[in-house]
Amino acid sequence: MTQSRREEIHKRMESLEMLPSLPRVVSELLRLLGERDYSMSQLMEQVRQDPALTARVLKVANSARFGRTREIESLNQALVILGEGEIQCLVTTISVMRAFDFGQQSGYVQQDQFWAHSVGCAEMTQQIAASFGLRFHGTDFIAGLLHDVGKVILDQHFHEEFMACYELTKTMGLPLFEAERRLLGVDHAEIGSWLALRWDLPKSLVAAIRCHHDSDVQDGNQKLIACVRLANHLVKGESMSVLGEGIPWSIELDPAWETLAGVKGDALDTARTEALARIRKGLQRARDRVAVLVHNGS
Amino acid sequence: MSRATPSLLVQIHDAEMADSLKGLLSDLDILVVDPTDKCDVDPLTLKAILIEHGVPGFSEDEVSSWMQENPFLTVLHPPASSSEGLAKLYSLTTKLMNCKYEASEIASHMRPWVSGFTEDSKPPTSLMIVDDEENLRSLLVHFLLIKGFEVRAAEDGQIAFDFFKKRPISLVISDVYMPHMNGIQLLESVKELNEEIPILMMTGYSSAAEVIPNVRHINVDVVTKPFRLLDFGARITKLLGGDSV
Repeated sequence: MTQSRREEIHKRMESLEMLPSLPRVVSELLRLLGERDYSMSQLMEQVRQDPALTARVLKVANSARFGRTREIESLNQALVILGEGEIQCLVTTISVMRAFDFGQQSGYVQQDQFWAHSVGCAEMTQQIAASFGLRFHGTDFIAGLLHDVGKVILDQHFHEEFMACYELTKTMGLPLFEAERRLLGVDHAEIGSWLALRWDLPKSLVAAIRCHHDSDVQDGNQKLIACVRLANHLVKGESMSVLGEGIPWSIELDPAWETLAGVKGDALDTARTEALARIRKGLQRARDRVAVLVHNGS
Repeated sequence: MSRATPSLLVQIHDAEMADSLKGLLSDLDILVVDPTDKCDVDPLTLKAILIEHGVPGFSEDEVSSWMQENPFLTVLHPPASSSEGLAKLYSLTTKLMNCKYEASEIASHMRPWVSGFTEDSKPPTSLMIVDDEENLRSLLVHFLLIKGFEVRAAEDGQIAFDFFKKRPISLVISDVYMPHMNGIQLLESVKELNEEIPILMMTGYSSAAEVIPNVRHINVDVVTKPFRLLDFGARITKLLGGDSV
């Protein structure tokens, strides 16, 4: 029965015309990231063609949170002062946030709470990857940013079903994704991956969005998935999400640690303790990013 | 072979499952037939029959002829012999027979029935079942009562833990996803009071099963739903150090 529910939801989603589109600047960035030698000037050219985006990037770049006293007046200046990685994150986040219309805020998922969680998760995904010496060239940030987009689609286009899932989380103590799988035969992660496929995102991103609640994935992307999964767990534990869905045990029990550390038993305990200490130090940076990008006006 | 005609006839492969059902409904006119047994049946007095697919006892032709004689006869083919199957079977049976038992009621029906149970036996080992799913909870309570254990039941971790703090329990059997206090939180709380207490976790969700091996405590095992009662019993035996089940 749940299989046919899944197919029905897939079909309904395919026929929706109001789904968000992938911002051009993000598809251009992804194209550049896929190339061996790319130049940020190509991305900057794209940003420049969009005055509203340019203005927003400069406003955020000048935010007091970045601790700059001299005003940044141009994109080139921002690139020099903040660096390529930072500019990539700002441009991606601002463009993606603009692409989603939360309408009249009548849904369950509130815009600011959603983006606070997503931006926090994006930052932590990147930090977790770095703490294990992994290099994903920016896709880790995008994976963290987009991992929950399926929730927005569920809330806006399948609202009644989505609310029934929330009800089940309360009455049965299930996490949201398990309630969704039980009632709808599909969870927000898979629904997000359908949007990612529609956007023609790289396979690694589709996998990271689709599998961020799974631990037994063996498709070559398991380390990226493990980073998103842990970031999601960590950010929820740090109250950077108020979406009514927690993971009901401590992050230490998450099987993703084994995927990332590649060891078991006592060695895993040591690796996890050390990694957690490193990663937790980065939480303030994630909070700062949320404050700048989400809570400082839009 | 001829017997008194029951109002419910059950014929299934799994002897443990058949025994549990017989125990549950012991005061009803129920007949549990061995898989190969062919007793004389008066179809007019039967309310329902439960026959598992593939059981050699009665042929489909025979069952069809009973249905022609008794148009009110319900024929059910219970699902595979598993805890889930038995839970469904139990629920169907109680519905069909228009009866509903409270756990204590069933316990009083069951005790005299438990073979080898006498008043002067040594005090039974006390177990606790924690599951928010009522059918499975009562099924497991009855299964363990049949096995001669003293059984306590709770519908969530908080109720279980409150009881655990007051009374001695030798082993805890708990579901993972439950409202108020989930199974992992219960496990951590119980282990904080007494690391030695064996705990058997049960879950039908892979997301819950995958975290149990990462719990760094002794005497913890996990069984995934649906499970066979034989396997469930074997795990309890092992956790209790090899005796009792």
